[in-house]
Amino acid sequence: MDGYVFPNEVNVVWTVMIVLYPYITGLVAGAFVVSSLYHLFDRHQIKAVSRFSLVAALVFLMFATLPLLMHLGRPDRAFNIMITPHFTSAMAGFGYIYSAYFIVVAIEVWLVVRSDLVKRYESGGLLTRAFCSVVLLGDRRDSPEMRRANHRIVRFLAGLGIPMACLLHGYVGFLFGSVKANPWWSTPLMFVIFIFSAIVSGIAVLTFHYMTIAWINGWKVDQECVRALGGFLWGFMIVAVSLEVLEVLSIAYKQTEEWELLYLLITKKLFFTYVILQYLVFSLIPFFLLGINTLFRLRDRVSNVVLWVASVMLLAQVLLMRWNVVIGGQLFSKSHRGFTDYMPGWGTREGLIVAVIIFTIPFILLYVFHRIVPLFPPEVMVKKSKDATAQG
Amino acid sequence: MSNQGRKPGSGTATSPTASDPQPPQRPVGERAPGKAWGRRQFLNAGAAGGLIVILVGMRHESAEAGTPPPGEGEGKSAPPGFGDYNWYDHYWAYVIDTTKCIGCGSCMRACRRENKVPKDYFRTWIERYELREGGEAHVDVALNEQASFDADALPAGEKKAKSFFVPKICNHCAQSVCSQVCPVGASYQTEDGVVLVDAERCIGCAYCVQACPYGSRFINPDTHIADKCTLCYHRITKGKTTACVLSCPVGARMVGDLKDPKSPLHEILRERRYTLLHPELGTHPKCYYIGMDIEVK
Amino acid sequence: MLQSPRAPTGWLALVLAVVLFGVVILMARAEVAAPKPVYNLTTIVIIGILGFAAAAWGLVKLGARGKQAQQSDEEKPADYSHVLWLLGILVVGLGGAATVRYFLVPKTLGEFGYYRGDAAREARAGVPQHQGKERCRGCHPEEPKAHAKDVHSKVECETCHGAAAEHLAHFEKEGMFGSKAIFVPTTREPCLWCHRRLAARPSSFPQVDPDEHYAFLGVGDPSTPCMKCHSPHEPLFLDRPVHEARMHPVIQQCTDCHKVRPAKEAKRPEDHPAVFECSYCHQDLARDFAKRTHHNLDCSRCHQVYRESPTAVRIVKHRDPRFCLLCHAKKPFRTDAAPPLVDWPAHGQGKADTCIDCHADNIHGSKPEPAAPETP
Repeated sequence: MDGYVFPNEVNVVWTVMIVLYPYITGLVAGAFVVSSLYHLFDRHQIKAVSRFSLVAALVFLMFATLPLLMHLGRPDRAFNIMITPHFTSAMAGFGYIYSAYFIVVAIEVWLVVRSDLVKRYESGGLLTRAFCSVVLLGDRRDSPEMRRANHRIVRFLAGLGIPMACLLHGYVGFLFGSVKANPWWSTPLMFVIFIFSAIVSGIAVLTFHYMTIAWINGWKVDQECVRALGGFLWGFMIVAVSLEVLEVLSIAYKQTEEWELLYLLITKKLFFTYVILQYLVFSLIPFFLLGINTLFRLRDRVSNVVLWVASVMLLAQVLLMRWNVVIGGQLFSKSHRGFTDYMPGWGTREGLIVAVIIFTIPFILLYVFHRIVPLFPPEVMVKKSKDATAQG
Repeated sequence: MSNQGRKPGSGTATSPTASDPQPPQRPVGERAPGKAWGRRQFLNAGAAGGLIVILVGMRHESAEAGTPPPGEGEGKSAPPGFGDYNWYDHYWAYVIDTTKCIGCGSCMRACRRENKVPKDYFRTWIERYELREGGEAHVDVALNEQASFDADALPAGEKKAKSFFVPKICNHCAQSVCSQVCPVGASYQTEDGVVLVDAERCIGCAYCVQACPYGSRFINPDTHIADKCTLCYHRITKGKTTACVLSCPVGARMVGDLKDPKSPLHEILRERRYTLLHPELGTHPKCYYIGMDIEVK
Repeated sequence: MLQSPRAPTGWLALVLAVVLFGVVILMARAEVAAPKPVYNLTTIVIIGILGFAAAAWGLVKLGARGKQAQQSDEEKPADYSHVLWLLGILVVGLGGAATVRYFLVPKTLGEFGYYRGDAAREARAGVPQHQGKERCRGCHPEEPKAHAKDVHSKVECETCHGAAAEHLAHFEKEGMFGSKAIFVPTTREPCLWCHRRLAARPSSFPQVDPDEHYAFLGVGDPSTPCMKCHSPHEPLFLDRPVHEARMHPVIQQCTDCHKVRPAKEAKRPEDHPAVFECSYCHQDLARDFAKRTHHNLDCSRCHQVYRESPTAVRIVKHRDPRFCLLCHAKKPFRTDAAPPLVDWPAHGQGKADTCIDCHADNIHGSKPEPAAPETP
């Protein structure tokens, strides 16, 4: 701790859990947007990941509240946010927005996997039949007419879900952007920055996850799909990073009273994680890689590697952005005279081990899902033939 | 909307290609055989559900607006459950004279005893400013258990300009940001102008701690909920003064009732020059600082 | 030309939507015009949403393509029954949740604002810990007498001794036995919390550097508490309350000192260039004092100048021998570096009531011609 920090501000209160929460809801929003690109906007190139992205959105959504529960001083009172929401607070919207969006995504997933669940029921053992019965709410019928109805409703929900996803993730940005006491957070752009970087993280996690699964299982990667995803990723990342840079450029240019403090924050406390990692390494390099991949026609093998690396880097970039915003905003004191430090604990309730667990479980759950109902269309889950490896 | 009053079979008359055999038409909304829910059932349920939601929504939130400024609530009778205290007759404010403060820490010790403030956290604290001759300030707080300054901050050889003490406290803002951002309505402002925390509703999310521009709030490590200066609400509503004002040996701190014409606060605010902390943030703090320096944020 | 059988439904839905929007607008207008909330905002929003839903339903129904365009004749219409079943469960679930919420909302929420009214009552119900000096006086009548007339009169008992609530509770329970549950300072640290010399303290406030102070007074052991010389309740042994001390003139106008107002820019006493020293006005006294034994002391060492208000200043002249004894009392911890020490009351036995009666010459004399100063 150096300089003068208000005595109550020595400890950072919004910890790595609060970094993780917008990150996870960001993955949700991005995955949902990808699924809507297929279901509503008829981008048939990404059919391979359409169902996978939707289920991924649902699974991440299930775990979005866990970091918050870990953070709350009184998690036993967590439902107060739905019983007595105080709507002058952005945070009060969480209860209802999250629940409504959860219902929308759950219904959409239910409709999308319904037919396969019915098939699974017919071919499964006792436990599988019990599980499918419960999920199908006892209604185990299936017919082309039902599937047509499903399709129409899925389109509707995919459309309805986009503004809701924006709301779910945007309100978090607004939550930070509206804190007038904190000069690092207080900007009207925060809402938009969070949404766009969320979409980037969602597309990145899907690309990364699909390619990793394909590689592990020996499937042939659907090139059209990943190229399309790479294109979307590049486009959204340009917007997201431009907004982030614009925001900091704006305060650096105006140089109002808080600039002295923020300058020290950027150049001393956050220099490594913000300037070096978030921008120079994890924004510039993916921009370059994805640009080359989108503008030039690379061989499939090379293109896939480039895309995979760029996805991983962008996942890191978005996580770092959340870290730099949430933690960075608490590293300086409101006295404008001093800085404090933050290192998350390991085994504490809000520590790194818990964070890693919370982030890993959704991936495991997706695998479990896949065992019950295949998350990819059958034409995607085709193993590469041996001589296909010789092809570029 | 659920029953258009059609007779069975009337739908077929309007079909243009009546040559093809149509399945027998049911009345609109009636359940198909073997189906649990038809359209009518769905719409009835929807209407019932919607009605429930509306009625539930109407139950509360009748006084959504914030606390009325002083002037409103005049002449209102005391609400029940407050003993002989009518909060509509009072509006509390605080004055700190920084030219008098000697930095003894009596207020910090008294507050800690009165309100059982946990160690390492502060409902009130005293900042010491020692300015070097070039103008750069050194600021610190007495964080030791006795809340006492045991030596000068800058070494004796260094050339010093002015140095002084500034007590800090929750400003009990008239438009407090902490109440605005509380998601569950646990942070609120009373009708007599004191910002309090409802210890039974607070979920400990710490949004108010982030939002307070003055660093007055903290999360209590024992109860895990938000905590801050309560202006000794349990004292001022019984005719006593706050613990900090009581214990200040030099009269640097004053709490007063702006609705009391005999309160010395009126004369002070009329005659002395005062300032507020962070007035540009629009929080309308009610803690007035006399003799304040520009170095203080 | 297809006349869709659902068209009247669509028009009805649109009419309903218009009606609902009209209701919303009327409610909103009433809400804006009234000083206090009239309608519940949630109700307005829900009615608005229902209006949008009705409008959407109507538009979709009106714009629905005929059966021919949508599907071939062999295909049966899309089957929504499973969805309706799901939605039914959902609606019942939400209705149930809303009902549960109704019972969980605290009764007094909204009584005064968006908070639990009982919370304010609970906040008021706390038990005060500090009692105030009137309560102390109830059992301790002696100390307040001296305290009230000395320089610590504005300092509350509990400032030094801590909150009295536990002390009272203890006595109500245990009587006179056991620990008293009150803090009694025994070292010099509690005194130094206020009186240590710090650059940030206002210079008009009495403060000492403890090492300097002890060196000057010949106190060898730094752990010697201040209370060995200064009674904490009457630290300076004033013989009358400071508010009754003699008034000292305050410079208000230029002509208070100058016969004719100097023709300079300075118009206010604060702008006067030089810092006032006692010797500026009291020249004869100062010249006389310089020849006497106490010449190394500043005037303020003995004469406390007390600024009562911007226009009233009082000066203290000590008569109580205990004041002089603060420096001159023979005590076991005084070293050779101390000023001349005496045994009191043995020294003054029967001879005098105050030190000045005999030792006026050592200070500044009441006699017009000072005798040769006593060598220390």
